[in-house]
Amino acid sequence: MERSKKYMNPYLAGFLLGLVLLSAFYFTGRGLGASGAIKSTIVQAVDVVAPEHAQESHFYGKYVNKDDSPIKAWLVFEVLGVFIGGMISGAIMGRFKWKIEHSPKITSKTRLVAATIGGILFGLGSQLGRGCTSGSALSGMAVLSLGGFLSMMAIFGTGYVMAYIFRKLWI
Amino acid sequence: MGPLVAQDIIGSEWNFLIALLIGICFGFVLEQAGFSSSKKLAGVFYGYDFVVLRVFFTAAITAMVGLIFFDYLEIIDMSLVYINPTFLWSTLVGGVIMGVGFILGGFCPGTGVCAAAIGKIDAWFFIGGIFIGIFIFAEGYELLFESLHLGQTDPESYKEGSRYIQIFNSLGISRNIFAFGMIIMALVAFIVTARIEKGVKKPNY
Amino acid sequence: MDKRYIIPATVLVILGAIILFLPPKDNTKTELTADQLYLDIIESTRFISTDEIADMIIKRDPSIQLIDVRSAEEYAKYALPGALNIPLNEILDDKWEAYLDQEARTNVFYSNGSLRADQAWILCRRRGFVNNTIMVGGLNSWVEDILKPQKPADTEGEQEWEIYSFRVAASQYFLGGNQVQTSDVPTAAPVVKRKKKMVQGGC
Repeated sequence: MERSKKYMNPYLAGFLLGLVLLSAFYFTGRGLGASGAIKSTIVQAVDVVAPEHAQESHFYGKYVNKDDSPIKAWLVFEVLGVFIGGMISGAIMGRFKWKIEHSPKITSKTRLVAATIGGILFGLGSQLGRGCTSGSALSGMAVLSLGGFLSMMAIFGTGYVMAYIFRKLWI
Repeated sequence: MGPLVAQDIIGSEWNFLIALLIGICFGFVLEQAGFSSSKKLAGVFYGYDFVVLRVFFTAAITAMVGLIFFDYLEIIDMSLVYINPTFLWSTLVGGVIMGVGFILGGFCPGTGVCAAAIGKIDAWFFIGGIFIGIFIFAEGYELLFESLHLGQTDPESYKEGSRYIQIFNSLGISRNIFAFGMIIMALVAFIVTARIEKGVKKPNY
Repeated sequence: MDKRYIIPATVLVILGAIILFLPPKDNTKTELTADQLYLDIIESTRFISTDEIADMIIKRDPSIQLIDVRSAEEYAKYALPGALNIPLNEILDDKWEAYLDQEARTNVFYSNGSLRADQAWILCRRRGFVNNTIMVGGLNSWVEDILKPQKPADTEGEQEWEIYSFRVAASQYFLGGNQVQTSDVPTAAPVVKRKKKMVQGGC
């Protein structure tokens, strides 16, 4: 029990997170996001490295020609904020430490490989699902979007189905 | 009346500052809740720690209740608020892929950034993976994902104009009844998961 | 269950119960109430005289857009230069919304008399659109005043004679071959209002 005291009460944290989400809606008219920032970075990078390729591609082409790039940059700043916010909290609580967190049953290398594959899948899925857990599921549920609920159920449903297969990674 | 930036009530030069501030609050709360630990996050799938469910549902309900009251009091113009569009198959397939990514990687993008901020090396690899994943999606877009992503495989009823459908519409009940039901469901879920958690042995993390 | 959660949980249930009894959301918020509409109807600035219109057409004033609310057949027979045809029975169609709900130019509705133009104006105003006006007297007045101006009596004041000489000049302008412009004048694409822009999505 001592350990969990270090973290905020989850309901209080959820309430505060809800207020952050609400203020995001109040100020900007949309919720929070995370994967979108990485997408913007990639689109920008490809546009610089291979502009012709970016123009031709149906995917990049959707973003590079629009003059709404500030809207997309919004998420980049927001995610930068998430990083800073996490750092501040970690510093206050004395949790900052370089480490690889993994179950004792697996090696660090296994953990890193799993994390990378997980990241790849999340990157792919977030594009198909039009947003990740924060952008699609959480923000979508707050505005009662059908897509948000489907997204949430698909993510967590699959998580439960797959949990048994990958149990070695965690327990 | 909000949303402020969308209506040019406050200038767009403030936009990025607001983004940064909201992001800082977001990251701070995530870290405080313990979302910077992948083992804590994964706990929701094994029944030893339901913090994800608690934080996630409390946040969604707080924002939902807040938006409903803001809408009623005309503090926010809901017609200007972004409703995530529903592309049935794209959302479901994307969600399934993300689910596998979640159980393998132990993070979602937001929590991954947060964990990376406090020095979790696995989170840095996870974020690197997201870059690769989105790049793969972008490069294989025309070949593999486009028709699914654009919803060309969706049933007709989802195509014309009903992309911005809200869940209570598809269930055929009013928004207010749905919201009330969701609150009750969340409370029940909180009680049930608290019971489950007691019976499951916590791994050391 | 932990006792300290009882109060927040109760508050949440109470809030939920309040939500249950909130009135269903009406989507007509941008529409005007009868009182507001009445105040706008008695406002005389919604009318523009035929003389002013003639002057603006001659000067090719880019700030006005003439809108002919008569049927397509009537429009094809005769229309004012540069006018756009939005028949009254199509006025509520989505395809015209960008023309009617904009802040860039002043729309001037006209019909044969004032009746249909006025109806179009009220329908637009009720939907919350601004920048729409009516040409007083419609094409009937246009023909009488501008195209066939009546010579004022010799006893009339100087002002009347000034108006008359303007009208004679205008009638020469409109009858002197400029009629060909009626329908082939390209109307500029409407400037879609920025405010209504839907916010782009998140993650």
